[in-house]
Amino acid sequence: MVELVKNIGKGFLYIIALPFFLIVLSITAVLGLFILLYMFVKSIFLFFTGRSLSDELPEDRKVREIKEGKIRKESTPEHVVIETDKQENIEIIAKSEKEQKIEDAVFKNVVPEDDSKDEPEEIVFEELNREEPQISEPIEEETNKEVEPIQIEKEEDKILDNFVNEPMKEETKIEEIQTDNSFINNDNIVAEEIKIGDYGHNSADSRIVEDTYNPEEEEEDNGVTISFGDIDD
Amino acid sequence: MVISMINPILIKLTENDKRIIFVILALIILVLIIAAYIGFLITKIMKYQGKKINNYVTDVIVTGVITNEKDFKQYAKKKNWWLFYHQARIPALVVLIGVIFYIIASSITGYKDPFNKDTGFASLLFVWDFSVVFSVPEEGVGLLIRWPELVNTPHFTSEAWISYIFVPIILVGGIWYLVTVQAFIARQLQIMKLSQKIFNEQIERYVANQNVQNGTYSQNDYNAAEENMGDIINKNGSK
Repeated sequence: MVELVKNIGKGFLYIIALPFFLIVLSITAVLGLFILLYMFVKSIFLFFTGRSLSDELPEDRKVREIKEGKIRKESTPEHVVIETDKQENIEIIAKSEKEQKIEDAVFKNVVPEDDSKDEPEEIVFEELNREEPQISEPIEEETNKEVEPIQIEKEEDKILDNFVNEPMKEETKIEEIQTDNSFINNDNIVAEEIKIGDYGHNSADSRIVEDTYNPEEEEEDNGVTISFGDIDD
Repeated sequence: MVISMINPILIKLTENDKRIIFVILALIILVLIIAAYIGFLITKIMKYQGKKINNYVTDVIVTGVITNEKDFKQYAKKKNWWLFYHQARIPALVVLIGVIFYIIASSITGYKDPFNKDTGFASLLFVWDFSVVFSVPEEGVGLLIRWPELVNTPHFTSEAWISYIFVPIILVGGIWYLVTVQAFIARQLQIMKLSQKIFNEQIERYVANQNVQNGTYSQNDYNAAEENMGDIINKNGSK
């Protein structure tokens, strides 16, 4: 009953307030028409000056700057892509903690002490233009990926050797020897000296891929991870 | 019912008259209750419409770009007008199209009076003549009250085709525009409320929050702090 009486009283008040509300509504509607017209004309002018009504106000700009500043401070990516070499399908990713130039990371052990900026590049291009190594088996166009496949093949061969008939072992051994001879130079090259992009002064060794290549070690040493993208046929 | 003008104190009420008075009173109460619920509905809708401005003014407060009431009101007013323009341009366009259509059609056909009951939109509506409700009897004394006469029943006329197009367009555009105006008024009220809440009640809120943190709160302080947690502004900048 109390609620009913309250509602009756509220209804009575709303009915009394209704004319005032309608007056305010009508005044605002008329004012709104003028404002609409003014803003429409303003939007046309702004359009021809290359701006719009939706452009941010100075306060909005400050808010955006503050937000961007905060977001930049909060985000600390672990890896930042410095450079991608699409021809070689190499992506060189450096950690944000260490600032290393690409030239230093790639030519670290190869560049001589009195190295200048241009020399590594020259060395690279000179090495690329030199004659190709003589190998019996056909070489793939990009030698960078030869490490793992060869290694895997040999491992598989070794695994297979254990399960294949004994007479076969000799043949595989011979094949191994042949393949070894085709890829390994007469000079006994130590694995640690050879690295990807190690095109430097040992030109003959540039395309020789060592079996003991261990990408994990390189990551630890240089702070640089090098990943190889898929090669398009 | 006859009201005697000779002796106005003596009013003769028959049973029928009493029933009619009872029904009228019940109708008035019903109208008041309906008005209360309609008013409640309108205020609820306006509160909902007003809260939309919160999304546009929260960032400047939380980031500390605006720190006083005057700047806040100016900034919020600009945002409110921009929102109004954004919302009202479509119904304004609809009304403009209707008006242009009517001007062109009436200038070609010479059509006038789109609200006429014979050749206008009113031909589709029930129309009563209220001028015969109150009349003086032939005796010349007293007041005669009658039911209004039904003058028109809904029917289509080919002459009123222009009004059949023009009036609905105007109605839709007009009601839509009035709703946006109402939303504008609601947002303006919300801006006034927010400026009071944000800049003038901070001391009370701070005291309430401090008391809650210290553990020396009273029930009132606790309730105030609980309410404040739902507010837009927080000392730490979180919503």
